[in-house]
Amino acid sequence: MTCLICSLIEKKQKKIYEDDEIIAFLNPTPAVHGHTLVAPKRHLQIITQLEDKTVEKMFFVSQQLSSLLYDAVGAEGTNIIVQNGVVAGQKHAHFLINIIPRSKDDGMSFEWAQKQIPEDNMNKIQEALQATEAKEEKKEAVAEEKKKEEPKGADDYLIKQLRRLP
Amino acid sequence: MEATQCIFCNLATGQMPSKKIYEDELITAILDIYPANPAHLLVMPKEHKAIFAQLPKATAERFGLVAKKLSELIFRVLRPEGLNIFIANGAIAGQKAPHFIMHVIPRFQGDGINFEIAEKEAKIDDVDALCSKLRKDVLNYFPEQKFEEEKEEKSVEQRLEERKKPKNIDLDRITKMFE
Repeated sequence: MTCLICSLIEKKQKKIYEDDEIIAFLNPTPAVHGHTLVAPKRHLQIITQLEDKTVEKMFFVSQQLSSLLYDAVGAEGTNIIVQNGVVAGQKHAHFLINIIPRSKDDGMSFEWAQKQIPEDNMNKIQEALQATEAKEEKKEAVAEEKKKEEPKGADDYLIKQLRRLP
Repeated sequence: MEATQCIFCNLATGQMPSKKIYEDELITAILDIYPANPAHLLVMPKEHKAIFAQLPKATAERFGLVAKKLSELIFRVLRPEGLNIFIANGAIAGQKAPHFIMHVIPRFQGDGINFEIAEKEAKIDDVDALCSKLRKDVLNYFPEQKFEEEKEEKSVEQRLEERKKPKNIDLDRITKMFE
């Protein structure tokens, strides 16, 4: 598999943190000086594929590194960005957390226009999300008693799309 | 519980009504009523914290778990073509609220939102210098880390001692902007 991220991980290029499951390193093609990537060692594409323990650790390590970075490059702020899916900006078929130090006039902007959503639609969305969440919680409770199988991807279509990335 | 000045504290603890989607003892997630896209979620700690760095370890970890769970939920219910998770620490990074928020934003083709991160050539020397510096700093936070070019042989005890020393990280700079 020619995953750029996997080969950077293997070479331990510009590594600043490593443990059994995850690794953090400076981006060789950074958006800005200090742009750091936190990745699982396993070649997984999106957040839903990570184990709970791994994603928890990735967020904790990102938190610690973002404090460090802030000091090390004299940043005035930081962005933490995850891109799941090509349309969300994902460039590599390997899950990443981007830590980006920010300063005045750095030429970056992550803003968005606010959309008007009718109250009706908002309520429908809320109901749908709540109903599914309740169902999932029930399922989890049941599954904990049986042997757990590989969770069926509600996101399989997204993973297939990412596997096509060079 | 007393109502506080912070709208988001009130939303997170239920003092103010919201379109709540998820809640546990540390975190609440609600629909953003001025969303980037439908089902744009605002995820916040119940405790008042301004930025990521200020969250207790358990809360920071929980944000990861909740990010995963909410992503699963959104993929299942809305089947978007993508999903962004976005945190802004500091006004310069786009932080608009005085209360820490993690955004979970479903993405669709042609939705007019841009979370592209441009990639640029780096000056090797700059990256190398930064890498060396960061490795030293990381050892104070994570004393068991090992790096090949370690110059000084410090024991774990020595590093833990150094870690106790006050650091010059001025996080107050950011939070003061909201006072």
